[in-house]
Amino acid sequence: MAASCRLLALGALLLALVAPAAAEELGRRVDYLYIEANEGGSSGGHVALGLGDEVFHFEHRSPGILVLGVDDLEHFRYRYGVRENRTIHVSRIPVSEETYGLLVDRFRRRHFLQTRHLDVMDGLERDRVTLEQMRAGALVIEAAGLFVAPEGTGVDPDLAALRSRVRAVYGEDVLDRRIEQLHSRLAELDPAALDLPEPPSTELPPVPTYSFPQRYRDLVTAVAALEILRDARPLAPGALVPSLDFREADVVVAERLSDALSSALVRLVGSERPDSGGALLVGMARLTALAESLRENRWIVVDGFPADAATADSRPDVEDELMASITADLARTRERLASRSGEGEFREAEFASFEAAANRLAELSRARAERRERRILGASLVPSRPAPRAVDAMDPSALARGLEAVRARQEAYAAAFKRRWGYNLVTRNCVSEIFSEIDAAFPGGAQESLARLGGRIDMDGSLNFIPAVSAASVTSAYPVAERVEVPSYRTWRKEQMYERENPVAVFLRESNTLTSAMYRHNADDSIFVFFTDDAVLARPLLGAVNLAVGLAASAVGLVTLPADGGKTLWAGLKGAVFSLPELFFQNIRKGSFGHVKRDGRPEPAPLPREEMSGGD
Amino acid sequence: MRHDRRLALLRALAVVLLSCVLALPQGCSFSASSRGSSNSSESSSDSSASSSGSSSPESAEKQYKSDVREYTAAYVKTGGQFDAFRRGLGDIAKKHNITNWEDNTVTYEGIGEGLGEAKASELQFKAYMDGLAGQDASKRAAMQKGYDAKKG
Repeated sequence: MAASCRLLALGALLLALVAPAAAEELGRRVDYLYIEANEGGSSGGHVALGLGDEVFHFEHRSPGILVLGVDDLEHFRYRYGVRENRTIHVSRIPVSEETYGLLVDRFRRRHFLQTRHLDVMDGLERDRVTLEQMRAGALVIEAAGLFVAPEGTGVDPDLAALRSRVRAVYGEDVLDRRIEQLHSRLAELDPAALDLPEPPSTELPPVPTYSFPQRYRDLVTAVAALEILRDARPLAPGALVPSLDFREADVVVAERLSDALSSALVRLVGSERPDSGGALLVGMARLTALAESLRENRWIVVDGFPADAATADSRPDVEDELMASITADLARTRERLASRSGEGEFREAEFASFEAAANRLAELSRARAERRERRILGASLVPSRPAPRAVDAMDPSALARGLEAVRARQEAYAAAFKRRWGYNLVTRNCVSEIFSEIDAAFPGGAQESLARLGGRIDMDGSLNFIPAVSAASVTSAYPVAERVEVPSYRTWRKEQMYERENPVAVFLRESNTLTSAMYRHNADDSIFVFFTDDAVLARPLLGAVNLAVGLAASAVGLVTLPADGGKTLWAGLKGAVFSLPELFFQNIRKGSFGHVKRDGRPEPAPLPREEMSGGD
Repeated sequence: MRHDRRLALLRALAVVLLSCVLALPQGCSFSASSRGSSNSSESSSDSSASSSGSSSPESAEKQYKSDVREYTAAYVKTGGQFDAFRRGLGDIAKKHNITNWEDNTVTYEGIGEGLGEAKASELQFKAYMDGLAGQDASKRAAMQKGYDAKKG
């Protein structure tokens, strides 16, 4: 062990002598972020690596895998520092431009590699669903539900106008011709030629494949879209959501958007891309919404909520802030649309942001008025209201064989992924993977890592796998130039209150969940009374009270189990368990916060707490 | 006898509680979904607004281009059917809330950058350009711009 350390140090010294980077000015920095524990997602704390505005961190995800996520710095701080109320400790290590570039490159590639494999697994799941739907005789087509069913009557004037443009460009019979071609291609598809992706075996990303179920789904979707255009089928009831009234300038903006989108859709009909159907469905719905907006003199958007949208409890205190925040989002995205509309392009991603903000605001108002839970719009902002579509029967035994093969490939793929990137509390966790990737970023591995960064942490046989221990090791092993503490949201708010109010009153009021002016019980939190993160000496005593409250809540939860599905029981049990460390002067639970509006958050720049000389 | 059983129960309870105390200060950020919540604009059940405000359009565009670049560069290395590659572009675009990726010049710039990054030859680049951009001057120019920026 000692010999290998000496060899490592010698290697590092040699590399330091020859590496040109060593002579460079250390103009960049790498931030090692230690995020304090809290109940919930990471009760043992968490670590991350900050490279510029990007934060890379390994998350333990279901089912037992470790995945590299990347966040922008502001979102990361909001998630962990504000919502999850954790203090973040930053250790800054100066590095050269070249070293910085190699690290960014390595972490981005790892993120890309895993994302691609996860995408492939999602694709396999879609294939399974497609085959099951084919066996049942009807495919569920995304966005087809935005339009009335084929047996519905009526002609939409705006789609009729688009149809005329399409026919003028490609010929009068173009739509029938295209639909016929697609049917022929569907008939030619061989269910035995599945073309499924191979499970991961190397460090290379997966080879792109185009599976039989995916081809089938794309072709059926394209047929559905072209039929809707051919028949100029109107939008289904409830497919449109009214939003802001037009300002004077908005008329021109909507006209420009409509023209640009219409031209883009004409080009799309002529495209040979395999997945044009979905884009055509969404585009046609948006075109109709824009036309309706111009008629109504107000913004009208397509309903963006997916059929299986999650819902959230309504809480008046949170919703007032949400309403203000979404209104600001809507205004911002509208300004953006207006300022770019003169460029003659339909900027889809920007339009989707505006559409999503309009949907969120309308949903919040409706849920309030109807006194129901509100639906939540996820990361995907593309309208997708589905509709079933009958498909021609295929050889049932071929479909059954295909389904079996897809399921087997799903299992094999997931197993291979887990073998390669499985989570282990001690040997492969958020800490170990960061240092493993740092070493792998350099051609010379561990030796070069030591030379370039001026330090290195060994995971073998140490307690460095514990986030808090690793943070201490970083400050001693690396030439940390600066240490910064970003206080948790509650700490930050309390400091503000201390400045404005009587400190004793603030201390007493904010010491517990019952009288706190800033904390409202969050559904994700356990049941407890006293905050103990800032009460070190009294912690065991307050912890004992919290334990008693948690146990009492559990007892109540047993009684209310049939009524609340175990919510109180679970919150009470969690409350009791997270009180236990407090009896031994340890704090994990800090409470968490719901949505915090932008102007109620700490400044993005972290507050320096301690400065150390160091670095090269 | 009953006393022994009670003692054993208490001992088991103590072991469970102690295990909890020891196990709690470990572990990393956990997400129940294999997709996690990092990149979601909405990571919690308690927010129906973007949690940090949506990222700027410039940054979203940059991220889209970067994903297309990485995907293209990887495809040049791994190979595979061309229509599968095109289909994959559609999936990437959709993750960035873009359905009509063919009509977006950023897509072509990203493809050009990916080809440059993968050190595709001029001949290869020309083949991709013809296959993807056709005769559309703005798409060809975007691909060329990306390729020139990265071919080094």
